[in-house]
Amino acid sequence: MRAFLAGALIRLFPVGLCVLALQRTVLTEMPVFGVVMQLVLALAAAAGAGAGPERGAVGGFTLGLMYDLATGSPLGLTAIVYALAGFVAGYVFTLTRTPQWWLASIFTTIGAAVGETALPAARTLIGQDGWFTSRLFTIVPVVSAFALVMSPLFVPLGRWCMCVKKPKWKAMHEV
Amino acid sequence: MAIYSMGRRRVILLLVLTSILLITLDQRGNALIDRSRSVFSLILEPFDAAARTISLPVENAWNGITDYDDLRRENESLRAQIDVQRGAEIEARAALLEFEELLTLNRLLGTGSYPTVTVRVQGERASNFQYTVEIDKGSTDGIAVGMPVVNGAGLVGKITRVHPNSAIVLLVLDPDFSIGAKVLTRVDPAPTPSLPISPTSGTTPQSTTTIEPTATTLANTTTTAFDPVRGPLDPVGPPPTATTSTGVPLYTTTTQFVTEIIRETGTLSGQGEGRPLVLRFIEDSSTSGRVKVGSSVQTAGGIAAIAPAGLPIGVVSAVREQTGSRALVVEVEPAADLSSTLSFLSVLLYVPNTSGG
Repeated sequence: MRAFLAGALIRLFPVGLCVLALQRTVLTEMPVFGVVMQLVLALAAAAGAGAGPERGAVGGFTLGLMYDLATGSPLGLTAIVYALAGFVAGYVFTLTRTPQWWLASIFTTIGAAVGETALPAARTLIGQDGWFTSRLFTIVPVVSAFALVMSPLFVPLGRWCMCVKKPKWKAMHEV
Repeated sequence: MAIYSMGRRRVILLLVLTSILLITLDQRGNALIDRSRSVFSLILEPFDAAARTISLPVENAWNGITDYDDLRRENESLRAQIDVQRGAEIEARAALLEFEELLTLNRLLGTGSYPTVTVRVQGERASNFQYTVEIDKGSTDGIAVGMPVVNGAGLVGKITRVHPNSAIVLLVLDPDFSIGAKVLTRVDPAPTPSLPISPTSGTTPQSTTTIEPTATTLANTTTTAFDPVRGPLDPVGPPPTATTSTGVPLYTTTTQFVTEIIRETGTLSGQGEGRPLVLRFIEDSSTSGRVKVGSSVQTAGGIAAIAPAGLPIGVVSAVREQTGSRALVVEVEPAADLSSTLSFLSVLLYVPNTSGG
């Protein structure tokens, strides 16, 4: 586990910085229906779909922590939500018998949807209420659709970041 | 593969506990976390700059495709608006000078008395659940947490995080934003019945506040507020004299509209994009029922307030009753246009006087 963490962090940190920089610059300037597309969340969910629930959760947590440090949101809040996104994507993917790229895309989408829905819930838990509005019905589909579009690129990237090779990824589904 | 292995449980538990610990430490304020944020901001700076440079052509193309028609329409409407505002600006400048003069005479500090730092917005909100922007100046320029941020129209937000070369501004739209605000309402009381007075007097006593003479009808006799020198009076003018249409003073028919300014203080907070700000009064008072749509809302100021008194916030757009309470909820349309992209802002270098002196 220690070796995994060291290897994964060395890869995830620079990739996370690049993705975070794109999130903070390009994507904030290009909202769709007023919704900011979430690149970091898409990567967190893809890491789960590509590396399994535990590694996905650790990867999502690391990316979320970086996101919190960069955006000024309460430290650990986005981290736990992105960890959930990675875990959910990885967990539902392990339930499938044969891993397919399109299944990984679908589960990345599910992970991203869960993560984006969990964010206002987590904010409410720490006393920052007022986020559960009808706008959530616009935000979640847009963010999920964006994760779906990015998943063919992000699932292999997430798998590489989490130091999981393709044969190992396929072996995860063999009961 | 087991669904819940011991290792999996351990990982989940560890992540949840770490998260709770970090959130608690951050919410309570921790120097180490603040330092980590500053260091991370410095690490991220070159990545941001590179991303901005690379993505600029893409952004321009995107904006060209999606915003061209909107921008053209907005440009036309803004040009018309500028023409209207030119006249108002001259009037406002004169009023402002008089106001500053009065403040100086009374040894009071106006909002214009505080130094400001002009900043550029370098990053819009990255999350859908946080209304913040990042500005390009930080603690090295004297910016500190809590300082109010304004643009030409009024209050935009407040500083919530400061790094050496950048800072995060929490916008007034954010549900976490909260500030003391006051509503200034002009109340024109219902006209009192005109009383006949001695025909010889011909004048009405001047009220202590603004008087707006107006024409009215009484007992089938139309009379008009009249000044012997200027003739029929403008809305604001010297003490009016009532005469009949024949020029013989008979009744005082001038109705007095006394302008009363009501100051009602409450807490203003955001509700998210596309929704007005909400002002909740601390307690029900006799005057809160007289707050009107169109009244101006400003910062309340006071000891330990994050902003000085008198910063414009917006205008009242609706007044409604609160469920289970007599206190009113006032919806406020912000003066600053926060729906479009913000470019340049000013940080008011205002430090609250918490010493109580």
